[in-house]
Amino acid sequence: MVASFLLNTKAEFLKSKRTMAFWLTVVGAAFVPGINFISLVARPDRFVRVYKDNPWQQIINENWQVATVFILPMYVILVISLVVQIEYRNNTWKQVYTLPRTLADIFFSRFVVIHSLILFCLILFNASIVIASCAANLVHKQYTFFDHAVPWKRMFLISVKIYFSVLAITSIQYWLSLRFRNFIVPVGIGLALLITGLTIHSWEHLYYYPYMYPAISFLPNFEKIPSFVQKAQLFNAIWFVMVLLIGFFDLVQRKEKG
Amino acid sequence: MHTIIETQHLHFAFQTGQKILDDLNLQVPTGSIYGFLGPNGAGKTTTLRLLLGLLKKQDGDLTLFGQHFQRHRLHILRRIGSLIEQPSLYLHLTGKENLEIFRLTYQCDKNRINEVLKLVGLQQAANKKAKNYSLGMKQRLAIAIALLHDPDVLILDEPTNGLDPNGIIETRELIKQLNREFGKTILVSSHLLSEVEKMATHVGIIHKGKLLFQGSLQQLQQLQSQQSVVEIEVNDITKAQLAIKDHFPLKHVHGSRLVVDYESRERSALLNKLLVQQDVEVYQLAVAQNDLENLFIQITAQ
Repeated sequence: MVASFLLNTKAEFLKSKRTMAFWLTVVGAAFVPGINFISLVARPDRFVRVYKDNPWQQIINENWQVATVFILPMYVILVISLVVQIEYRNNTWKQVYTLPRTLADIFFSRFVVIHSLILFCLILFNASIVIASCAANLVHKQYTFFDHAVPWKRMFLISVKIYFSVLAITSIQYWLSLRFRNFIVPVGIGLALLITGLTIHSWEHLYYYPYMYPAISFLPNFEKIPSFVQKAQLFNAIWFVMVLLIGFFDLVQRKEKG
Repeated sequence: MHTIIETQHLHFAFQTGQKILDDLNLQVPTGSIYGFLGPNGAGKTTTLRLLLGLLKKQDGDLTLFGQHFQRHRLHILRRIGSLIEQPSLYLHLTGKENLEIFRLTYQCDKNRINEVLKLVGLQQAANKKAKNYSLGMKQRLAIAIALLHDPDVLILDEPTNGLDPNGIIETRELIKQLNREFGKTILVSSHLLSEVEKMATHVGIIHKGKLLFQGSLQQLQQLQSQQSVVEIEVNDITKAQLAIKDHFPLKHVHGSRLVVDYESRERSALLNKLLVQQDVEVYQLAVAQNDLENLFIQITAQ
């Protein structure tokens, strides 16, 4: 049972080879650090001063702040749809459902692939920050990145926190992507919900709202109210589990598969 | 002969109430090539999708290998290879990678990939991406996938659809070879009788969701001869009708021609004699062989 789940998950990984989902992960991870690299190289007059005392802490915050609010949720929305679209686009669902695999196996193995891609994206993002900063330091010797140790622990902790903050979005988007054959529908709904979140960011009950959990878990003005963040974490877990189960139940109930 | 696939009183309707399958009792004998024949929209694909669990069963029973589908889904699927409608391939992957994906699930030996590639004649193209394949090659790769785990039963939905004449012949030969050399039972659907006639050992004819004929190819051919007619061209239709009316039931009149059922050579001679004895001039007397194509149209037109 476990062995066949692992093999099937491996097969699901193989399917994402050379796909848009894979390239989006790579490009998406390097996007913000890449822009930061250009700024660092283009405007040393401005940034050498900014990143003088605590360069790593500063640059890491800078990158995450831009990434968490919009780019990361958007990446999650897109990558999930792209992974599910592999089957829709190739018309392969019918072959998947006629394999000797349980429905749970089909449902969860793909979810594992999606989460692996998201984790991979976060690792690449961290690596890109370090590489971009060091590379800028090579161009302009005035930067002090080489003089300070890279705060690996802090990077790791932020990454873990941010990873957990997208869990609710992953199950909602996974369900939507499985539900609708047309790629535009889940992406459109996801984007609309994300933008709605940004416009209601000052709502006092924002902790109910899944698409804002990444922002809540990182932005300093939310960090000031721990109870608010805790509530968000609780609802994140509830959304995640609940929608994942609904999505699975919906798949089991579907009259026509593939 | 045992049946390996069986449906009992299978019904299926759309939510709008439109009936797709109406009391379908399919019986596919073990070791046969069962040609599942019917015009487009007759319910062939629906039946095959139900057999594979792609559609939720509404009413009736499905048995494969003597087991109920719902209760033994995984066990049954492990013994079936299928190709439903267009080939299901990951176009961004190579032929070999496509097979590898399915090999992992079926947990079969790595050698199997080369074996099935050889069987369908795709070794040369194994490392080409599937999107660069011709339709015929895609179809063959899909068949290779269906064969990967050495299943007892193959379910192929219109496998020659869209292929060029060469591809059609190759696919047909492959199906026959799989049946003959590897003992596979093959359920193959088609809307072309000529196609089925060339490879099937058994035939089921479906039309508007009903199974109108089911039996061996010989039985179908017998039915064909039963449906043959004798056409007689005479000078006086009324007189001729009177002459034969006690001996031969008239089918219909066609201008100056009478049409009656063909029974035997001797009866045809008697027919002629009766007419001549009554002074009817017989210009022509011919047995019109109803070919299968006509038979098919007749059966489905009922």
